Amino acid sequence: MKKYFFPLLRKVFNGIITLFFLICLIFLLLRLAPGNPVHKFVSPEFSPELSEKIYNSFNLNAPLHEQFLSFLANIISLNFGISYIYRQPVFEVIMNYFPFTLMFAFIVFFIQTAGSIVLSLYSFKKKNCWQDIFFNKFSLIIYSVPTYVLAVLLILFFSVCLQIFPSAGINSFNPEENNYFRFAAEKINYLFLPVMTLSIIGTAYFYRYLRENMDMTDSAPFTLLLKSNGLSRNGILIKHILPNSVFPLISVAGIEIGMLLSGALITETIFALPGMGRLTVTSILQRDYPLVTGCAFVSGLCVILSNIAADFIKSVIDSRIAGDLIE
Amino acid sequence: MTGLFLQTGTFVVFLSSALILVNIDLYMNLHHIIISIFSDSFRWNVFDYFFTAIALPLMLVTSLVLRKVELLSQKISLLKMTMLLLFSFLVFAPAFVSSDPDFHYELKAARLLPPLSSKTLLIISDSDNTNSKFRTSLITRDYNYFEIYTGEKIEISGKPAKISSQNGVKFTRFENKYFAVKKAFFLLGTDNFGRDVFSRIVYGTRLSLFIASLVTLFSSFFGIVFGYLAGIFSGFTDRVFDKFADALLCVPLLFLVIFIAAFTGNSLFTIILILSLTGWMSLFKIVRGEVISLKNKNFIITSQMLGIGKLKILKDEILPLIAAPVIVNLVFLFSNVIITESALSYLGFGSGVDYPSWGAMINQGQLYLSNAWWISGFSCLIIFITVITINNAAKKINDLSFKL
Repeated sequence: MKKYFFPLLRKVFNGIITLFFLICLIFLLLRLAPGNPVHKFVSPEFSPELSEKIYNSFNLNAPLHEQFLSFLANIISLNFGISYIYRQPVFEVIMNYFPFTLMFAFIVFFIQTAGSIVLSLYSFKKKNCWQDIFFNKFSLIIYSVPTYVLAVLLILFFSVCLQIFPSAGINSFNPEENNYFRFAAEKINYLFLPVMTLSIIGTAYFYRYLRENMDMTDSAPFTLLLKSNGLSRNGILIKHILPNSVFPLISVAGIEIGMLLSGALITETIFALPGMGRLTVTSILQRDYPLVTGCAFVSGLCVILSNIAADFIKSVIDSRIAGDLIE
Repeated sequence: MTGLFLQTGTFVVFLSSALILVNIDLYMNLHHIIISIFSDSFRWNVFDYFFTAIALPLMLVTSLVLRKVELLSQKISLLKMTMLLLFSFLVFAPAFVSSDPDFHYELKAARLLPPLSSKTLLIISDSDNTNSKFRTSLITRDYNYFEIYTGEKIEISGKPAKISSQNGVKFTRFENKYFAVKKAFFLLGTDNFGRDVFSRIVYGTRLSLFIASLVTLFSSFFGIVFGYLAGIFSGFTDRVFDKFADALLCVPLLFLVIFIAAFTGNSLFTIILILSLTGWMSLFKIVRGEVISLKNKNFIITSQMLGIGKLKILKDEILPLIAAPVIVNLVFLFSNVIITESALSYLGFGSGVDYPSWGAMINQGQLYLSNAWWISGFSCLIIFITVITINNAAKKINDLSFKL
């Protein structure tokens, strides 16, 4: 355990510095933003004394470094202020939306990881056959389809032409009347298209990495040795080639899960899902600055934490790189 | 020195000849242009003239340069054809379309027309010259920024007196007015405002490619300069730049762009600025890594000992060595910028409010998906074609650089 402790500590320290830079950026943008946040709370009908009082209560006359320090202290204590549109503390609002994103992100992540491993194993076994060529070309095509294009095409096909799945939303009109069975069926019905949208693209993304790594591992000297020793092809594939080619994928997966956790902005907006991404877009469109700050902080935290987790898993699997995790 | 002089001279000659040949209108409207550049309201049409005038000679120069390296004499492939098509959309957009992208045809007749449909058009003019000011009616009305939907009742009386033909359009004279009937053809249909989808797509190509090329230019500048600085001055500068790039990378790109766009507003130039300020990080990482690995090589140290300036070392020694990964990264950045820009317009943050844009068209067409699939369908298709073409080009360049 001691072997992993110091590199992990260094990684966490680096993550904290990165977060600090992010907070600096948010503060800078908030201060540079046109208009004064106080204007939202002051009406011309107020008496000048009351307006003065409200102005002073925002502490905007204080020197910039004092403002920054109080901003930093508030963020560290997870006190982002009170959201303008929801009229409740930002942390509570985010906690209302975060569980859905957590579930959604892990479903998508599971499907894309499993799907890409299965597909790449299949196409590796059928190397240079038409299946392999088809999957390689198809993944390249999917790789260059933007999310919103795929989402619109899926809606066009499944909702408009075939009318199988609903095009938006998460609940039907009376979700309380459902029993557990129908509740699950309804959730699957509503989540099918958004999960498909994200996981098709993610599968293509992972598949390309895996397939390339498999080819590289296949031509490595140790594989040749194993083959010449007469081990079975499937045994080599499952025991040696797959673990070695999944290993470089872990850091990519760390980035991917971080991005998913910080909210799939476009997918959640298109399908009107109650997740972090849609919350972010709404907060920005409504100029709800406390909520924007909270969302930026949470998404940055998610990305950094998942990166640290990916590096930690890598160092546990391969203890040679535990020492030089960073740089 | 003379070579440079000649090149500049040729460029100026090309520029002026293109100005004269292509856009005689430019001289007619010069005072408008000068006013609109310095006024607050930026007009796309005016910019269009300028852009055509600059891009056309640039294309001639590029074709000459390409002929020099014998890229034009290669075999024709689908990739090159698509790139040529997109590039000609960018340069000759007005030549491809029959109507202005913002031209509202009459809603009663031309709303949500399916692809490959055509309508008859009545042109009313004071003279039989098609170049003179004319008005189209019955199906379309006079296109004016302030009076799009205003039109008066037209009374045709008297016998047709004279028939004359101008530019293939036959004019019939009634008393003192000239009338002509023309076919308006909608290749990809019309949208819910009665605008031609094809011309909007062509102009959207122009906007997207224009934004993407400018953003790539700016962010390559930022990336290379910051990466070089961070690589060559190790220590504190390196740390600051690196952590800053990490902080920008740790929030999703789209989130960052929307976040800044919320504070700065969404005009064309702020979008370009924001995208180039948020796109340099990956290039920065590549250049920094390469410079750190090259820094301790003998030839760099020798040049430093000889007293060659840091900028000259970057230009002559380092840039040629890291050209391949940088170019591949830039091409991927180009396609990423196109995707991000369309996503921004899709969400309503981009410049798609003012100008025809792919993302805005997808968003607009999503409401009419059940009865007019062509609005978002064709915009999706063109985004897909553009992105896959650019990604394929990047892959080709990558393979070439590995061969060398």
